[in-house]
Amino acid sequence: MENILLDVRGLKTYFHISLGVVRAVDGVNLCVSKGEAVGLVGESGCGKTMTAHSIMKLVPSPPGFIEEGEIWFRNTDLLRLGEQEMRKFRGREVSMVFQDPMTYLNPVMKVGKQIAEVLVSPTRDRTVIKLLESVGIPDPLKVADQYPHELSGGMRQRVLIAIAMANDPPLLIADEPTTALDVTIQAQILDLIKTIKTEKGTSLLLITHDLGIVAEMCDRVYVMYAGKIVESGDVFSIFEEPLHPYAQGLLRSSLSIAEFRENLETIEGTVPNLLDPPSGCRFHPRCPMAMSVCKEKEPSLIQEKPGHEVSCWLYEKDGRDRNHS
Amino acid sequence: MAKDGSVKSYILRRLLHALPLLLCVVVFNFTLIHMAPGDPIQSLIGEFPAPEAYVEAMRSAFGLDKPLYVQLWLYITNILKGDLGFSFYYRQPVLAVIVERVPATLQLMIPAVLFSALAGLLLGIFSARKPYSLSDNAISSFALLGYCLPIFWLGQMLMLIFSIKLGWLPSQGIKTLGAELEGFKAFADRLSHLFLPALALSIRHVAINVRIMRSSMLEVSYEDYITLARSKGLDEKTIVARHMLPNALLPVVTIIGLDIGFLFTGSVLVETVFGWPGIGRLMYESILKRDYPVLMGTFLITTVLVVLTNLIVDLIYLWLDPRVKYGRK
Ligand SMILES: Nc1ncnc2c1ncn2[C@@H]1O[C@H](COP(=O)(O)OP(=O)(O)O)[C@@H](O)[C@H]1O
Ligand code: SF4
Ligand SMILES: [Mg+2]
Repeated sequence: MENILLDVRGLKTYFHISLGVVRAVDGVNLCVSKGEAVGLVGESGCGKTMTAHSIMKLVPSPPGFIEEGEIWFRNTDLLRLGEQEMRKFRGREVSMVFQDPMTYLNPVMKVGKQIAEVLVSPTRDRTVIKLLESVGIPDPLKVADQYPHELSGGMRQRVLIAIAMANDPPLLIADEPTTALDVTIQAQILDLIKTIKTEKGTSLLLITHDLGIVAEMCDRVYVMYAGKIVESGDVFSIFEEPLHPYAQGLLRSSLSIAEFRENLETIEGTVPNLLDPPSGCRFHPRCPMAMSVCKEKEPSLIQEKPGHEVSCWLYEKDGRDRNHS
Repeated sequence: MAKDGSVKSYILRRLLHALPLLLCVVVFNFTLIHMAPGDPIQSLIGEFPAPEAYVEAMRSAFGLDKPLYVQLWLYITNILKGDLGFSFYYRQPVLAVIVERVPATLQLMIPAVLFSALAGLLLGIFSARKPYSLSDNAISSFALLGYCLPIFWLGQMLMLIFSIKLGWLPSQGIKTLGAELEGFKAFADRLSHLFLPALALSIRHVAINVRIMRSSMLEVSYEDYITLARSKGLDEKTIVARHMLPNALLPVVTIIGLDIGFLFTGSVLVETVFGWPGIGRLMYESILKRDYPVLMGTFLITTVLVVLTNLIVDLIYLWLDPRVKYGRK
């Protein structure tokens, strides 16, 4: 498709540690079109951050290695680029906003300098002060001259967004941009990202574990579980009728948090260990619908409805024939 | 250094805090030395028999017949007046004897500190770029060795090889005696004399600094702000110089500051081995000669120098780390 900006195919990112191999990202397919906002949801530890870091080729190596796959950005497979060519993509074509604004700014460098160094060519509209203004920082002249520890978490996240947007990249990856912030600030930061997206037409890959944020911000969503994409589709369709039992649970628990706090529903069991993931469908130890086949064979990703894919034996024809255990 | 609290008041406060420390050092050294065996008068008069009356006269002339606490009190009040006592051996005021030696010690110490800092940092940074590579392992082994070698042994080995066997460098003193050199020649002469003692004195500290700088650089390289720097598309050199180094330096600066005290200890050995006319050798000689006033004076001056250098190092730290303010610490 002409319109596709980012196309990740069969991405595998493993960590080789003394205990064995952590399959953090294990065959992820994902794409983002121009101007589209795509969500990537899943519990903590399922590999969302490492998917994002793989796209930027920022996986800490060693121990992390991108083992397989292709990451097409327009007509370039980023995985084939050398480090020097890759640098031209970072911050210009793809930018990233990180999870924890407290630790991602250099503590001994002034904020203004940290923004200035990413600017490819400062022009009248693209100055540090203009950028700080554009992300809603009230006193940009003062803030530019301050150190990160002098700013609040919300302000620091705005600075990080200013850094990410400095060169107007076509794709912005936001990795849980509000998780570390106060609830009131969270809404402001999401608003800011939304504004940027509509004003600049930036494509967005938004990583979160909060389905509420996805509903508010995204056009399409990928549900990730234990290093794999288990369901994807447009936000409307997935919220209306989630297909994968994990997505169903995720949705129920997010609704119960929002509406009936005392009646909190969560998915039973714990996130699997990616050093030794469960056989077959990785969700089977926690799945209320698990069948005998689920333990043995991995379901493939199938298109159940137009634009809505799921990886679950419940939807595979021969899977359904193999009855319940 | 535009921070709240002025630099001046910070320095003043630090110096005031140092006074009780100096007092303790004085009292401790005084007590310790007067508990040591040996009679200074004996070494003053010499081995030959002297009339009892003469010995007593000398004793009272130097105030050695008074009770210890009176002697201590006199000593302290005299120090406050700038009088560190009178040298038995040199027959000069102690202060004059020491002040004469200060430039030589600084001439050895300052290059040694700078060299150990610079070499340590550069090797540490280089080592951390490719951890566990051949060059890293080589540097780490060298650092381990340099850390273990005793200074006096190293000094003698360097002298044996480079002065006696190869004859490349002079073995003793701070300059060629009797030679009337001027300008660049004088400088070169001093430099050639400096080389071996400074090297002997620095090696251990180069080793310490390499190890700390290496681990500090490695630690910093996993920090989130380095990931941010990478995500900006900066090249590796910029990331190392602009983002890693300023952060990695912080712990190293602290260690260098703490180390300076040990460098003084080392200088006693090095100055003795190389016949360097500084405070270290003076300390050693005054022990041999039981020249107690001079010995106590060198202790005091050394303490003052350590306090001052630590202050300078702390000021550098404050300048490097915007998170620390003058008020704290
Ligand atoms: N440096 C690392 N070394 C070893 N394992 C890692 C490292 N970083 C991440 N992982 C593993 O990769 C998996 C995915 O991590 P991550 O992508 O951060 O999850 P998420 O962002 O979804 O919370 C986790 O199980 C984690 O243990
Ligand atoms: S494949 Fe089986 S275990 Fe996995 S989600 Fe579907 S039903 Fe549950
Ligand atoms: Mg994460």
